[in-house]
Amino acid sequence: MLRASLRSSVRSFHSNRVYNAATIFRMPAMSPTMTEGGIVAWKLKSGDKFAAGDVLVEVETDKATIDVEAQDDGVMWDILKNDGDKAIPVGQPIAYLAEEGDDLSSLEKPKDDQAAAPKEEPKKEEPKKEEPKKEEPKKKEESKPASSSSSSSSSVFSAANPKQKFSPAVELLLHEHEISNEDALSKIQASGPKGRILKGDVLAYIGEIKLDAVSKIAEWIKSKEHLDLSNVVLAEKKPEPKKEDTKVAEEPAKPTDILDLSITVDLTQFDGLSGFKSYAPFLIKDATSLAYQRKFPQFSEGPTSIPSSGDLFDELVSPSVTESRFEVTNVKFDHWEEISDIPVKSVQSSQAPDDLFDEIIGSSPTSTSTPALAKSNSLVDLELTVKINEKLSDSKEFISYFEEALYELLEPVEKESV
Amino acid sequence: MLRSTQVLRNLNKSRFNFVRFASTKEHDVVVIGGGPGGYVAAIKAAQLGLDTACVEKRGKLGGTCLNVGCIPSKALLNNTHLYHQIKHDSEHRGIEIAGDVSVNITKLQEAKEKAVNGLTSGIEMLFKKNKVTYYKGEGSFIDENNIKVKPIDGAEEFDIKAKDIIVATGSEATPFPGIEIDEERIVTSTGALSLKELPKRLAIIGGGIIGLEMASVYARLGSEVTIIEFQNAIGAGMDAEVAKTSQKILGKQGLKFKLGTKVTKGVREGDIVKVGVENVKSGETEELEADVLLVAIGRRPYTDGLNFEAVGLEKDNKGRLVIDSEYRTNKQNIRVIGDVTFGAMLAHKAEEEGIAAAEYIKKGHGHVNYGNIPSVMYTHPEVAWVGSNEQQLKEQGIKYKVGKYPFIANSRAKTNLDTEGFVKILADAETQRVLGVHIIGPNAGEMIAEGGLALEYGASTEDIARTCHAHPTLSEAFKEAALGTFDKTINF
Ligand SMILES: Cc1cc2nc3c(=O)[nH]c(=O)nc-3n(C[C@H](O)[C@H](O)[C@H](O)COP(=O)(O)OP(=O)(O)OC[C@H]3O[C@@H](n4cnc5c(N)ncnc54)[C@H](O)[C@@H]3O)c2cc1C
Repeated sequence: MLRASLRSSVRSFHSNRVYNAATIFRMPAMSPTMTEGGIVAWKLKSGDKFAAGDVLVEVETDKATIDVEAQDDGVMWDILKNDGDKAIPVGQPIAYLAEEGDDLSSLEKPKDDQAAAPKEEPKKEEPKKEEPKKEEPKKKEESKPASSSSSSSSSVFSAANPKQKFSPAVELLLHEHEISNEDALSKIQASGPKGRILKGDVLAYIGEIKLDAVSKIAEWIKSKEHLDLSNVVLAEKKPEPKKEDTKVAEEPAKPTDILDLSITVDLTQFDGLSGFKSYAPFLIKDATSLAYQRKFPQFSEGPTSIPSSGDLFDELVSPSVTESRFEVTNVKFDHWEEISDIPVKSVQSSQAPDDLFDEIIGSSPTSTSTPALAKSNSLVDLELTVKINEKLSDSKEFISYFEEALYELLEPVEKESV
Repeated sequence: MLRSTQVLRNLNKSRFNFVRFASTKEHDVVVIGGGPGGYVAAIKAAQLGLDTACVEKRGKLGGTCLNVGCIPSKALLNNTHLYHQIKHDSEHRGIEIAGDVSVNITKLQEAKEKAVNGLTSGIEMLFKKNKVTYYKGEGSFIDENNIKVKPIDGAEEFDIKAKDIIVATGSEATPFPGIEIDEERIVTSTGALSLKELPKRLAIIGGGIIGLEMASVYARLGSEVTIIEFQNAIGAGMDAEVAKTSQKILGKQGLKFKLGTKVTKGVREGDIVKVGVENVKSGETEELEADVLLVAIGRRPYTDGLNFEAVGLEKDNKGRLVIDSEYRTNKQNIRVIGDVTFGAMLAHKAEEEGIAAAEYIKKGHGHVNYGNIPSVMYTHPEVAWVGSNEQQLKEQGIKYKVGKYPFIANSRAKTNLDTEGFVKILADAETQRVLGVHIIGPNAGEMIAEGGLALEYGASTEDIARTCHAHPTLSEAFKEAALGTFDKTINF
């Protein structure tokens, strides 16, 4: 029973689209940049049969007049736009076509599920105007239409691979829009792997969606194809802390992704230096949480890194909710009123992830010895290195949230950014 | 093999040309570690015509995955599932069992061992077939071209030389600070995979994949299982909806969850383990008793004995060896792959990297698509996913459509009386390009391959929906879910 109903309903699903209804014939895009066109003359009238290769209509663009040929045999059913009509947006229906043998009297007019497309046309032009850089090279290329597919400035597009077999959705869409295989291969920019034309590419070509929508998603997918090595925080080599420092400084490749923060804190609010040191990991954790909550209230636990879904702490901090915007490393405490010039050897470091463990077992990572020389006017410089994840555009925003949260939580004596 | 080269080294070198060659032990490529990353890299390098050797100290090839990971866990999962089904899920299918159904733990473990041994010796055969030299010993760096091998049979140490070196030393269970592992009462997954008797009460720290799989094994055998998880959800990295559904179903199977709970202590007292826990929000504390405590809070890179410091390789703050996008360390001829470096700690990810690393060495290019690495949890029902989840898409501000199809509406699932779960496909709202696939249901782990193929080819959901799927199969649910992103589903 189930099986039968499944079969028949699947069939009717097909037939709705392919057999019982007419096909919409839309204003074709004769070049990737064409947005509208005019009807010069129909070469046949309602009821006329045609064969594949017959010229159906003459269309004019701002550059040329072009014959549009039929891809398949069929019958002209109803003409919607007449000879001489101009400025018809690409993608707008201009006629209904039927198959040979269709009963024209009982034929259904297909619902134009792309009815919104024409409305979107003006929108489509706006962003293009805003992006003259993208537009210009395309226009130049238009004089040699065959190579137009390689004209996009976005790296996600390439010329269509001429040897590909179209996927079912692409094939159907091309067919519905009467785009020949040769046209598709020479005119449609491919965003798929190895020059594959994807459904989105065709949708953009016929003007149903913006090219921008295709490149945006393709770029994002591409960005995820690589191992995320943008935010590597080297382990500290404890025996040679100085070398470590120079190493960070010597990395000229991305000096912009590191922010050194130094905050002077009055220790009288805390239980002396040791009290503050055991508070610091919680302070950093809370400030991190607050920073993330500003943008993602639902992720109040703070971020964990997505791409390394199997890494060390994943099972602990599951689920991975959001990609890390920054990472706090190199937490140091510098006692302010130290008499000697030698950097205080109480400098302790802890790395953010460790806090999680310590959180669980309820102890603090910085419970090591305090310097002997605590001063009466007790001040401490809390020094943090914040590594910015440059892969995400809003990371800097998060860091300023983080900074603000730190200050709010601390009410520091003064603030300086190194 | 090792012995023979040792012997050869003591022979008169000038007499045997090839013996002298063997005694200098010079290779194009030496791979340290024979897990899924290392053994695959070694075979591939050899197939590419490079003189390749692999150093492995475990005594068996296949690494964590074959010996104490993927394979033994799946053996136990499959057999305990069968047991559980026979016992609790057969009568209403018309199967009557006359006597008592019981489990013989010793034989259950034997069946597991047999599977493991068959597979590990299979890799040894593959090494022979592909002419990969296999050194059974611990490899450690002398300098960037020389490696000391300490044979596990106690024979004399020797050095080998290589132009290129691939490090694939894998990972180990992350210890829980303050809790001492004895692999008897307080265990890692390794101990949990070879318990000799059934614990009456099993407590598990960590609600990730490994924790939940082991929880399923023992719950089916009759243990009372409690999972303690610090976060408010289980299943690291899962789509939130899937994680919730999974927790609900596993809860029905008798697993107890303590989420948002941190462990404050875990100590063995005689034959029991006392576990202190604290609710993160309320601060309420509690002490649990268990016969076995499993610590499954994750895994960390493993480099003991490798002496990577000698060549100046760097680690990051999580202990991972630092690499570039071609797996190269700061030494151009030393590459690192698998669990010991960045990315998901999964066997198939390590394997892909093994192939790519060998290709980089030989041809200068290789490829792994990190956006398309599936994850599977082999509970029942299974959970599998590939690509992005809803949280990730929301965060990126990507507009997407959800197509979801429940197995209760799938004819095969109904026929099998196994209808929990659903297929959920996420597609870009405009281009319909598939962005992620999330399945909870019977055989999800097999079905996810179709999602991977869709992602790899940039398929739209319409492409999937227009591809004929056999009837009656579970995969029809996949097709219907795809249809659901842009049109009406047919059978639901
Ligand atoms: C319980 C459990 C279940 C799992 N289930 C799955 C699953 O279902 N699917 C999945 O994809 N992944 C699973 N994993 C993860 C999977 O096992 C790992 O991702 C995979 O083994 C990593 O491969 P690798 O080659 O990087 O390292 P490993 O498999 O860890 O191999 C490294 C090898 O190197 C050897 N070695 C280390 N140092 C040296 C040295 N100095 N000299 C010589 N040899 C050395 C070690 O002995 C080891 O054999 C599971 C893990 C566990 C623990």
